[in-house]
Amino acid sequence: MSAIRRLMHIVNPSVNALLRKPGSNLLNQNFLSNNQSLPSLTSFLGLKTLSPVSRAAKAFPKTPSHQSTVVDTSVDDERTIEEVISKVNSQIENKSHGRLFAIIQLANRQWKITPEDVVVVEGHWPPNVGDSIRLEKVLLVGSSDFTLVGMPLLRPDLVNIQATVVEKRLSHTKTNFKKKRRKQYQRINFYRYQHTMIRINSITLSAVNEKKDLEGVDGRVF
Amino acid sequence: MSNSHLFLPSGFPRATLGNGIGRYICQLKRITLKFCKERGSSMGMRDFLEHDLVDYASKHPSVVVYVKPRRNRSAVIKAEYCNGEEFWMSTYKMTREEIRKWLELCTTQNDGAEFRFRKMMHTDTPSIQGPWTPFSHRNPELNTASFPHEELSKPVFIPQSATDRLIELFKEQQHTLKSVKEG
Repeated sequence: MSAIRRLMHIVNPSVNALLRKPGSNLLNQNFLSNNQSLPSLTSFLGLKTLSPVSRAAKAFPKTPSHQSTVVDTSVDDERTIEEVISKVNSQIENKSHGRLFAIIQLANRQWKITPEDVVVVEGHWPPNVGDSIRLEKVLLVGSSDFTLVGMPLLRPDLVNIQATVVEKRLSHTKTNFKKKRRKQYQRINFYRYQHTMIRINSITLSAVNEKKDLEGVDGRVF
Repeated sequence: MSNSHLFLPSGFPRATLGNGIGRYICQLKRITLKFCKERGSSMGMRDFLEHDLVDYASKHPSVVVYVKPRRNRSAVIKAEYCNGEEFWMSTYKMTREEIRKWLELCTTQNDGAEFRFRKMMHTDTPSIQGPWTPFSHRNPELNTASFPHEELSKPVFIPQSATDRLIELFKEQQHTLKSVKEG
């Protein structure tokens, strides 16, 4: 975080300064120095000629006039990542991260959950009341200080979310009514969805050991 | 939704009495099955009592099951729940399988009331990292900026004017000229 903050300080003023300066500077210099050689340009610019002049002319690079040098910060970044991961790990070990939240995919929908939440799954879903289930498709886990983002999912040995099925019931009666005017056509249907209510019991984390570009997909069926 | 839904009670999902935080407790306490011994409309219920009732009762030890014969009355299920709610339904001419399914519903629901969920989840902790505001993840120098501010008062996007385009063209020319001169 400290490195990012440092970067921000470096980037912001420099960009502003560069944005303001170049217009005036470049204009003054260019107008004055190259004024005398202008007429020769019209012979090939804007016209498709095969003169040796146009062939010798290089294409204008489409880079912004306010170019800036990019500093290689990879070593610094690595150090920052190490530092951040060690801090997260120490919080996980001491259980000082406080309440966690997670984004899970359940029944084709994404939910942001935290312990003691109630989630209602709509439609047919096999788990029965009293079942204790583990929610495995975890996309993200966060606490007040850090966030672990899955690539695309978090590894099952990293995060463990337990839930209990509390209730299975039917929704209220919904009406499906359609009518076409002046066509003697009208249909009415009544239906009720199945609702399964689950209670999130716990979200627990284990230490972050490695950082991969893609993880959490092995041994899973999508 | 139609007019019949106007007076339908609605709200947010709640599990009764914090059910499931520690352990799950079946909310059904008492179930009464009424039937007639002679009528054909109670045949499914009689089949159910004959074949499945003992299984059901042993599977749900926390539920008290009453069976009441009622002469010349259609078969009925009545369920009573922890929160004092009652759920009544007719099983007139229902088959044994149908009755088993409805009884399962009676057992797994918290009460029989029709209820429309306005949202499909409930949380007591809506935000852990703090709710988003227009100032979250912004440069902290905004905090000390004094207004009116020259930079911040500008529009976010200014389209390129004709003058700017001319200047750009001119610079392109200069660059090309330079490259030609260099060879």
